[in-house]
Amino acid sequence: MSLLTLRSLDISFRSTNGSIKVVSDLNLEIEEAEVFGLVGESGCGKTLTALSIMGILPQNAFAEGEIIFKGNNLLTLDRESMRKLRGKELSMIFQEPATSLNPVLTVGYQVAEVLTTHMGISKKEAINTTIELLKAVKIPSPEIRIKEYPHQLSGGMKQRVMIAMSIACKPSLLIADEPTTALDVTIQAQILELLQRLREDMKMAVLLITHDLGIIAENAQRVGIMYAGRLMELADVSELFNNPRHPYTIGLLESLPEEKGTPLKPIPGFVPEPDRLPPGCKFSDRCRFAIPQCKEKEPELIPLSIASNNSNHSSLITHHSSLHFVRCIRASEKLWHF
Amino acid sequence: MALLKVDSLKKYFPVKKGFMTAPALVKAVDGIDLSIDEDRVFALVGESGCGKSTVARLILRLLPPTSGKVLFQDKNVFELSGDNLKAFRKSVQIIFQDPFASLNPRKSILDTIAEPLRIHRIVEKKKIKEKVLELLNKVGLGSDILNRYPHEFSGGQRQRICIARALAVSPKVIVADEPLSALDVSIQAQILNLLQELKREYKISFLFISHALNIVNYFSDAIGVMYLGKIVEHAKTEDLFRKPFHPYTEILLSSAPTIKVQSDELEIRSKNVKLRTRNLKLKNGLGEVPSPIDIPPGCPFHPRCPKRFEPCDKVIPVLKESGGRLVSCHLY
Repeated sequence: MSLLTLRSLDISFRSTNGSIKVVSDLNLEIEEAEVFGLVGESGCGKTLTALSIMGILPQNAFAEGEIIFKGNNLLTLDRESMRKLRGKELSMIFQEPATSLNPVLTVGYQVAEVLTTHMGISKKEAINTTIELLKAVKIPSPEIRIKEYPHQLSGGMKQRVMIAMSIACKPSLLIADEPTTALDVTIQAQILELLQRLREDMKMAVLLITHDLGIIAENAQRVGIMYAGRLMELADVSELFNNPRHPYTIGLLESLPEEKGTPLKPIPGFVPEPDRLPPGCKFSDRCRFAIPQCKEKEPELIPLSIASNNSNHSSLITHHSSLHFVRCIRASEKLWHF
Repeated sequence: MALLKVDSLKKYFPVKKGFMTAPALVKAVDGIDLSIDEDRVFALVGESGCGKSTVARLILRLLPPTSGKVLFQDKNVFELSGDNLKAFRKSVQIIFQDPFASLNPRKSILDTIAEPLRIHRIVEKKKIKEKVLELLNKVGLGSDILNRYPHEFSGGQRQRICIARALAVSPKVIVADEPLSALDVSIQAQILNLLQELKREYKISFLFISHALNIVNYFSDAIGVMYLGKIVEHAKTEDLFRKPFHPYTEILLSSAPTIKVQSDELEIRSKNVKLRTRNLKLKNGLGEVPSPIDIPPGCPFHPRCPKRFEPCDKVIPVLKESGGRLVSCHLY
């Protein structure tokens, strides 16, 4: 059984004239100890999905559907049980390490607090464990660092403290929301390497949220591509990059500069506001492969093998196709080659 | 001939350490030479805090230098005044990183783009609107946006407006300080294409500041790699990406995550090998950028360098020629 299952998850914002749905019908499973990558542009709902799993959506937003973590539906849990889970079984690191630490408390206190709250150990033990944790995330001279305040640390060091805090109780799932976007490439590589090592040591699953396809290619096992609050494509990493089927995924890959001198092929237009999405397929207004039928009905996210069976292109089925899901009526046609 | 030349440019910022003690100096830019030819793109890359943006500000004369010269068409920019200065301002324009912070929220798009036209008297008053429309057209925006305000636009559209504003005075050089890093991937490609088109059409030179190496590789002709206020390697883009000489450049290039598409099993294996060697390399070259207030003695990069040896912690390497490029490392 998978560690986390999202079943027809909808997230909406309350507004003066009804509610606006920003994440729609999200279905996905995260297995134990895997890195699942969630990719999408700003405003596609990837962060809201993470917040809904943690149960920390903003006041004016609400989630419907099911978020099943180790057999419990998190959306029906009461506040107290959710509070016990959060930080212990589920933890999260954010994009901006600078704004996620409390500036008036020492980093040692902030990491130890997690331990005393969830593990019920004494303050002294907690401090010793904190030193061990800071060592584990490769912070030099942790005995001195625990007495320092966040402003005395660099961005990379702060993110390491955040990671130490999030793994303090050995969670089963770590949500990393753009953990390296605010960091330099050299530091980014170090942080990602650290996350991979901790994941292997602790058998922890990681939900890695990013907009950088390169990070996904090097770190995730499976990946979901989100657009306008919907999962557009879901596949193993190598399958996705070798055999992308959704025009949005194709567009993202083509947007990356490759050969010098050849003009890039960007996706035209821009992401529409959630209350102004086009009818039918939500990507149809920016899609260069769109046909009139795309505007009629929104396609379902279905396995590529089924999509191919329904048409005459069955010869294209590979052994990966059953685990490869696409939300596009033209998924079975191989629209694109490298 | 070099259009813009930077000659041993230095900028030190004093930082007060405490009451009564002499202020420490942050050597943000510590003796930089570079030149940008007509119709060429020179890229500056490096980690945050290495001084790339300070160089941009110095070149635009937004900051006075501690010492050194910036020559634009053989005239020292810091000695210009009056009409000459105004002419310089017209020839060199900037595009900033954050299009949300670089447009005045109270000005309509028409006013925003008309301002440089009025100041530099580019066109007659009556024809201003016409010219603004023409500029908007160039950057792919329609005429319906003239009376709208910046908050109504997305990041990509705002960056287009910023580009239109820079283009208004027909500059010869555009300094682009991380113009893409606040934008989404698909929008980055749109803006990069636009910059490419404008370069082709108007023969504009660019000083392109970025930390995204794939974009730099795609767009620039020559690259300067900066580390703690100094250029440590200066080479043609293709040479640098084919074989980086300086260990810092090597680490920068290997740190950037890449997508390699594998068509068969064999290639998948070769990729895994590459990944492993990369991690090995990184383990040796660990650590973070030291504070620019106390730069390490000898080569400033030696504490992080996997290839350091005898003289590195004592002798400061000089930027010297090696194999058709400039590199400051004791290995060469």
